[in-house]
Amino acid sequence: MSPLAAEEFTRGLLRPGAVPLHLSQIADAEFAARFAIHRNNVRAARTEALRQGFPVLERLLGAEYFSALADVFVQQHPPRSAAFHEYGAELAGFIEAFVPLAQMGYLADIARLEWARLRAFHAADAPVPEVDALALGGLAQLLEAPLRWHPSVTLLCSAHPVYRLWASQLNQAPTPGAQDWHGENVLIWRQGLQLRTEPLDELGCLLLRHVQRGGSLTGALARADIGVQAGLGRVAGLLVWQVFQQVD
Amino acid sequence: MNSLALRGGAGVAFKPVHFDALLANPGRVDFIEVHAENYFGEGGLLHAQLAELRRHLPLSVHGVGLSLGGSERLDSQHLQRLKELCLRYEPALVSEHLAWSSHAGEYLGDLLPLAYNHVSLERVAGRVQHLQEYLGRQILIENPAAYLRLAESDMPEVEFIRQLCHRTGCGLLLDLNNLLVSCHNCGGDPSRYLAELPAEQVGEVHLAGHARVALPRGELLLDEHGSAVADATWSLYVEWLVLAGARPSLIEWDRQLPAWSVLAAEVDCARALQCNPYMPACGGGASA
Repeated sequence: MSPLAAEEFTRGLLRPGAVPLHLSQIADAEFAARFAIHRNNVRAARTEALRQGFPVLERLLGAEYFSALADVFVQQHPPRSAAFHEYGAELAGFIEAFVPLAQMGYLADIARLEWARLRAFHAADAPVPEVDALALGGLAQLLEAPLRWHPSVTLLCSAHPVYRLWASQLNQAPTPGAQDWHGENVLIWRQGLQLRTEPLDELGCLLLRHVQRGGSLTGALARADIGVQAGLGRVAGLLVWQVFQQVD
Repeated sequence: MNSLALRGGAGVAFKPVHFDALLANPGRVDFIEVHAENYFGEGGLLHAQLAELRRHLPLSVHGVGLSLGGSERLDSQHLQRLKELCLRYEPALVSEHLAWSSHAGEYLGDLLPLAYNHVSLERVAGRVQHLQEYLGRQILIENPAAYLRLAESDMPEVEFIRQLCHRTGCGLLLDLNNLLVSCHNCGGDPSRYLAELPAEQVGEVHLAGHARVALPRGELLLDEHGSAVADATWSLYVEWLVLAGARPSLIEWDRQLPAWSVLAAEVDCARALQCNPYMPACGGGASA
């Protein structure tokens, strides 16, 4: 393809009606009909990539609205990589700035949650502390050691009940109503090969953030200023969830 | 077995939904193929499955998004990730398309046609050579499914492919469904195309289903990978086997996935034809 022809062909693909008839060897109407196959393929591939990555967002918006939204998004943020599972990083920010959806601020956080799930699914593998295999001495060492988040972890703090909204679309929780509409924190990560999405309370968030800043779990517990029993229970839970990896 | 070069046999385009069935009996196929870009992520379930299957089966890595037919520099990050994938899984075969799919840094997500002339031959040959040097191995180039023939073209596709092989030493991935689709849509005789191909360069064959769509001036065939291999494609496969012999042959079924048993039956069909390349006449019924 010459650079000029590729430019004209691409413009025709992305703008309805702009068929580059002069590139054709066949009659105009026939070329236009055949060219439309490629145009439809391009549109369908991009919309489908977003549909696969953001299924709950699609359910909340409805398939038709989602497709229309995808068309506008694709124009502003076309995919740069042939790995379609990496497409959609800007969708949450785009929705936040999309005036017709301004009243539904939770949609952007649903997009953030689904993007985090996509990232977690494909994130690098990393060795995690095996709590089951630890002797007591090992456990004490682990609590003192600097840790970091597993590469798959995202902590999403939302002003909306984003976990229950997401789970309700998978029929795993009732839809939150106005009377119990409050912010939620959601932890998204991969436990081994299993993709996990769980609500997290303030203590869990505090522990995670302390570790993210390079602190140890005992340091985090001291900072949390809570009872030993509650603190250790939460730390054990996070270790079993395999959200940390050890720093070499 | 999996360290040997593939010389024949039949495989499937692997889909995660078929992982358990395939792992329970890997010998049901001779190799598997995956789209390279689906494995550009770093870890997780997809890589765990592929690593496990790779212990039992040879692998073919099939790229769909490098845009070898494009007019810009090859995406260096894409090249790097393809190389890492090859180092990680040591595939028996690596292939890409004679098509373009990106422009001005934007990925278009479709395999788009290029003009067949000496200028584009020069450009594509340079890029194929670069890819082979970068990966340190021969790659197979797949003939496209064409819906359009461009005004800038001044040589037949098969001639373009012959010269591309000659210049770069690349191999060919002969997609018989694409060949039928292109000949139907843009003119040409599939048998003549087969006869004119450098058969010794063909390292793999693709078999797939196609769809039909009505356009103002007649029916067009679409390469859609959503159905069983068409009878006409099996017939062409027999013709190829008689002409050139067996090659690793892939059943490409990428959407509206069937049950594993249906896919495995298609593999059986390809294997059987490799042993005995004979196709009864279709649709005739008993006659005097």
